[in-house]
Amino acid sequence: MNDSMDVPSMAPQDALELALRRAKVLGAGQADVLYGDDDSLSVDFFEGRVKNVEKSRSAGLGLRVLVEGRPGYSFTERLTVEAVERCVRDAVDLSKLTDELPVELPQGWRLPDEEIAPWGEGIEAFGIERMIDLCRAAEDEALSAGPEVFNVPHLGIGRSSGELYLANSNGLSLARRTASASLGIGVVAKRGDSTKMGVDVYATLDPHAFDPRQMARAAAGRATSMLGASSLPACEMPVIFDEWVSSSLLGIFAGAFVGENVQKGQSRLKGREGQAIASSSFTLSTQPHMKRQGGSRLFDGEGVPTQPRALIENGVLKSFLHNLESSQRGGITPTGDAQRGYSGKVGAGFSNMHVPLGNESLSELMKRHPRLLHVVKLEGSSGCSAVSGEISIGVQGYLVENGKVVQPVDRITVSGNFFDMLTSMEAFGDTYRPGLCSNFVPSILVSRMAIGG
Amino acid sequence: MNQELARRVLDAGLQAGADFAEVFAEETRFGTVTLRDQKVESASAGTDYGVGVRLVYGNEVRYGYTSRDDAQSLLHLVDDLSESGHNPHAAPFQDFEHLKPRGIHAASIAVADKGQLAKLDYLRLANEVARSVSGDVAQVTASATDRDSRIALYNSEGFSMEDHRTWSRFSVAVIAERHGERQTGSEAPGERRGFEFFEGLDVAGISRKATERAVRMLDAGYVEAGEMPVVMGNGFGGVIFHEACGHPLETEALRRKATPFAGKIGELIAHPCLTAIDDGTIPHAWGSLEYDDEGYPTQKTILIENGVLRSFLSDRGGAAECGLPRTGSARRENYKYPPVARMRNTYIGAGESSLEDMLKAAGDGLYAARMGGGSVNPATGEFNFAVEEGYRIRGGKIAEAVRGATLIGRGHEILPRITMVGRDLELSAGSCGASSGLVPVCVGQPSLLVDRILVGGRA
Repeated sequence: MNDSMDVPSMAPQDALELALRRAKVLGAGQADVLYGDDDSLSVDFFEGRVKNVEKSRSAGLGLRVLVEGRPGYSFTERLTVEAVERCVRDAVDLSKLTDELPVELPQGWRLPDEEIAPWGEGIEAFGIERMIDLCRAAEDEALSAGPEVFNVPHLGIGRSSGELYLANSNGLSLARRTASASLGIGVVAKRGDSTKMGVDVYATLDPHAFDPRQMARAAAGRATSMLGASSLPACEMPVIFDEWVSSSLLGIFAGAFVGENVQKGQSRLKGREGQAIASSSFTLSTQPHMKRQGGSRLFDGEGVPTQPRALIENGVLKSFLHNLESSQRGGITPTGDAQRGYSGKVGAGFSNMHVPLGNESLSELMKRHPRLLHVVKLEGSSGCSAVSGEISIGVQGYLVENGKVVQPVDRITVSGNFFDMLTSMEAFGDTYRPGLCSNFVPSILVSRMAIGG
Repeated sequence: MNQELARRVLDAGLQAGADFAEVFAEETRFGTVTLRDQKVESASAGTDYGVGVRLVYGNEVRYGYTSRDDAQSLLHLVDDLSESGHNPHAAPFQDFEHLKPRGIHAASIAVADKGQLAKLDYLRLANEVARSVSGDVAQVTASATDRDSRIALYNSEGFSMEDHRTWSRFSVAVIAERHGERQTGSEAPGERRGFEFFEGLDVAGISRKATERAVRMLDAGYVEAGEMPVVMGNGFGGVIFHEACGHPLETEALRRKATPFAGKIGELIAHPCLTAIDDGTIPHAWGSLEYDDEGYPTQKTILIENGVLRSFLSDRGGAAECGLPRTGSARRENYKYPPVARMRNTYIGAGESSLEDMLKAAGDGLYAARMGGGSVNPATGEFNFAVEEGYRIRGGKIAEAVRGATLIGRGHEILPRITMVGRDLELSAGSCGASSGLVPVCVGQPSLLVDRILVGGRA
């Protein structure tokens, strides 16, 4: 290590300005720079005691230069003058390897006054003692939730708050902050040879909103209800993807809606805009302006104003998710979907993935068919491909007959194709999973999928 | 890192009543160049930099980190981490005793000296070879990454160490397409070496292997679901043992009573043909370390010997809490994580069977030549893995290619069903994520026969 301790780190604005100034001197016609910092505290609890406490304060700066249109990326977590200057030199050097990009960075603009950002007042004051009390309550409740509850191997609570600054060579300068808290619990239940784990997770802007006992009962209930699960013989049947897993399932295939992938021939949705690709009751959108939600933001990772937009509206494909590069390649106005952390390159994605609620409760959905599978857990996604749409995924859930759960099931796979599944979405639940979220997807009933196990 | 500052931080930790204090300082440089088809898609570099402070009170760990490395920030961090009990009379430790690693896994050519540009020839070669193998190749992505890490470690027992660790990795991913059908094949070898890794690599060979796999799977039909005998291919197939048996053998699992192997040392838990090892000492292997992230020498740890459970993998705290010997397995992704016991290079030892014998013994089943990713819950042992390259076994011979297969089971239930182990042991580089972040590991095994396992597929 260098013996450069006691060299002070730079303030965010100074670091941003230095990086942009040096980039210009070294020949970058355009540059943008992102600075993020994070302050967090978390507690991990086991058998009546604190197992781990983690506390952090960290920051980093990420830079993109365009030298004669060629991009180069670099980042540094060391924020001294010398380190920032080296970061700029690295990015400029790397730009010599790359090909020209059609990117025109945005001009400066001012954020509107409305506050949509997920920022919890007073989160920083959420301290260790209170966290321990909440964990203790959750553990007590879980262990007394029934004779089959065996262990609570995972119980953690934490808070995190941070600021993000974005500036570019066109005079753009924007900032936003985030602050939230979350509690997660995993409860293991055992009956004979059968061992199952049930989980509950809740994130919030208000640490007073936690109900640890209710969460513990929910997790214990999920574990206990899966005990004695068995496999099913191969068959085809309707499947409900519970609100706990529906957004993960859509998330696996989110890449099919990313403009860059479409342009590179990595999405089967290429050239299908304006066509019906899904059931007419299905609308999928990005909703960055939802009030106080996890994925809400007024500007994207490149400083473009975000805009709420449907990608699929009543079954018809309307739009893709774009960053500057893909929107400018596609000859369309930037849509503000860029996603970026300081250490990575610029991608594109949802800012709050949103599917409107249906008007049937879960129990009503369960009555729609005489026999169906209610999936509550997905196990890995490596048998799925956003490129081909192939779905082959291990699941756990319940076999439902005439609206009643008759048996927990595990060791089965659900298979099919995502693009076929879009057209066979039959109905949607009337609730979202609780807690601060960046995904708003209700339970989805798909009329037919292959079950193997 | 400045030794005097480290001492002040450690002293402050002891005075705050901690039984043990540790400072871990890190500066890691990364460089990645990615070629997609003919073009450099991205070129990036970066520096991870920060200091982690760990205070241990009994079995409780308090960990903090910061990318600000001045005295005020670090002492403030210790203050935040301290429990209310103070111990102003804590005995200051003796002088630091410096440990100097021998450099068993050291790089001989620094990538920084060659420059990122020098990686381009290898990336272009991967692209050319893939395209020459088959006209069905729709896309080739190749990338070359290097990671050069300097760490300094100090603890309140007077231990200090500086280490310089280098990793290099090359990956190629090929998409083959025919009649709208797409399949991918990939290879990603890595070693504890510098630029000499890229120079010594058979780039053409690995690119051909990935391409041939993608093209072969284009013709595959769907596998029918059901319980059947499975012959698993060597190398990356070891990922199942890693996930379903390796993680439950880490003291982290034992401490949380979340392992089916608790209290089973000395018991027969697998078929006697099975021996499994976690070895941190293999020279230049992707998962090797000369000293672990607590400064303890790594070792070759026999986990299972002829079916009998011999050892868990432990770090300082895990060994103390569980009453087990230390195995030098403490690892962390970077300064943002406190170290815990993790795997290094984990593999099933070579046996005596030939692939032909195992196929014959299987009779009718599945040959899972190469595994994809999967998921596992160590608390219940449940695992679920996709088969990236699979074939039906019919009449004891490899038959048609099949897709969409997943292997589903529970780790401790599968161990006794591994009844034949091949001679073709091979290790394969991977990246393992757990509570202390992503760390480089090798998985590995020879080909082996699982008598009976549930294969998920289509009706």
